[in-house]
Amino acid sequence: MSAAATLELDYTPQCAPPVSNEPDPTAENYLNHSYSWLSWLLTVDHKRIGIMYLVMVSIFFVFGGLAAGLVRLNLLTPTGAILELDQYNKAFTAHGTIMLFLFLIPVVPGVLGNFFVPIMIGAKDMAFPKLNLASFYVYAFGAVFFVVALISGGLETGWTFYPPYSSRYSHTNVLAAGLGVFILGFSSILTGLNIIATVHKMRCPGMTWGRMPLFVWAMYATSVIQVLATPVLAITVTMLAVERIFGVGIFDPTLQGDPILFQHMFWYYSHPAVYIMILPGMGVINEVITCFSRKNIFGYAAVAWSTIGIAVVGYLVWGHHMFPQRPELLPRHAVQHSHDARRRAERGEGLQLDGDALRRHADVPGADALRYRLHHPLHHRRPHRHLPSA
Amino acid sequence: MIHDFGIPAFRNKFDVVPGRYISTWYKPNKVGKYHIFCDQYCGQGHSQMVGSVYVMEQPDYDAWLDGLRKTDGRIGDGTPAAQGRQLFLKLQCITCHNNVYDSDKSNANSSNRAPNLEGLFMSKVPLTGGGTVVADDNYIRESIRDPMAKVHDGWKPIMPPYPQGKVSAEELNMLVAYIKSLQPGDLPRRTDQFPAPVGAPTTPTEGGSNK
Repeated sequence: MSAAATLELDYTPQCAPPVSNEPDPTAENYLNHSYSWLSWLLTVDHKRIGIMYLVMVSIFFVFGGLAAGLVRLNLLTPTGAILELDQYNKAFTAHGTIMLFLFLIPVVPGVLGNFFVPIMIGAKDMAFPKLNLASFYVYAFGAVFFVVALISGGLETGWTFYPPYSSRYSHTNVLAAGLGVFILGFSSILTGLNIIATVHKMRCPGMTWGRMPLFVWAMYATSVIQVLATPVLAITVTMLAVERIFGVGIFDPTLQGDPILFQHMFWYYSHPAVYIMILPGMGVINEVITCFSRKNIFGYAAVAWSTIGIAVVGYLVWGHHMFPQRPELLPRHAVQHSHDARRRAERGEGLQLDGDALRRHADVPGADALRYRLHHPLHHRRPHRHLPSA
Repeated sequence: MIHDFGIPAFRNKFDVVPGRYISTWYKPNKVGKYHIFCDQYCGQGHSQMVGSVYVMEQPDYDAWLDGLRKTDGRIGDGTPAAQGRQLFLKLQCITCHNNVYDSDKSNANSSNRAPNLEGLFMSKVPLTGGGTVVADDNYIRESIRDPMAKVHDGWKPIMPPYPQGKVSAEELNMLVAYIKSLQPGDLPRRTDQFPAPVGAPTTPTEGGSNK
């Protein structure tokens, strides 16, 4: 029949590569790729960069853990088992700064984000592969300043760098560590930019916003925070350095500065930074639980919007780190309400997953993830310690 | 350095920020002895910044108060106000702030160089150039550190300032405590000789480390 011949359709998927049984001798793949040191150090492949991040953050994770081990060992006896007073302060500061700036902030975006985001959205690589490699080296460069600061005499201000301790009274390497924080911030921003551009422009046909895996949603929200909040930290440590070097009164009350100003600026970054740390974790759990429950997630849109909601509301709640600085009554209530809103957004995400896995037979790895998930919302149900019982 | 006055048992915790005066309150409802901690990491001595707050029944408290209060009406030894009184004499505040010429208590300030401080606390002070100010803690502190800031109307601005180098923060608090405690008739006579208070420490051990 001639009519049937004209109706014959081409069913080949439009986005698939041309099918060929002949191996392409020019194509580079995991079998014929170079394994030399240089090929790793100069790679722009997102998976290799992810693995390089994994190696680096794992090294710092070990050192941060050793510092915490020193702290715990010292607490064996009431008078301090192995460390002097200042050594103890330096040990917990080393633990805090390494874990926060060198491990927690880069770990999931740098390792899992680089590795999985292109795969999950059907892209061959990140949007800016060279920028991706640059962000790794900026991270390594910033880490050098941290290592130098911690080796040559240490740092004793605690990871929060509160002035006037950090600006006037500390005799340790605040400037080197501050420069390290400043540089590490650029690495964080570059990674965030890259993920945002990748998610916006590199999704394969059919991968709409409403179909993106929740891990990608979490990485996207995290990246927005990284790009928007990190400059505030850079400004803050710059002001701290200006005060420490030139004696310009910004935070030091003896120079007419205001120490509370630093805390506002610091937490305006560092509270969103809490979500740089937890949102990727939530994204991972979203994938793990649904995978081992062998079901699609219940309430996908609610979880995705909760993720974005957390990122947005996270900017408004830094004041709850400053209850002991006594904000007056009205701001205090505003802080409380914003905190509640953020908690609701978080609980929205938590409940989806709790119900999701509880109604199904999650096998062992999923149950582990569930334990984590149940633990986290509980943490926020505690009454607030610092509110006066007025 | 930022410290923090924290009493965990009372859910009470407020930062002590340099350059600011902060007041806090709590209402304990259970008798006992409770910890006071510095709750803001402040350097090497941080773990040694500890203290205790005692919550007593009213009769016990009155007994304690009576034990400190002398029968002649003088303030108790060892209290900040008593130490402030010693400073008040040592710094020669009494030279101008006195009532030595006044036989008539109802007109105490008639012939002095400076206002009489008896009963000053929480009174309204008329200022040179108009306006009044309530003589609270902050006003008294400011008037010691920077006497020209708010001058009592009718008095010449002749008082020297007492910066950090002359009066430390602790000493300032003692002076303020003393001035707050002054009621009419409490100011010592300028020529009084005061014996060392009974039980006063002979070495400055207060507030030091336990090493």
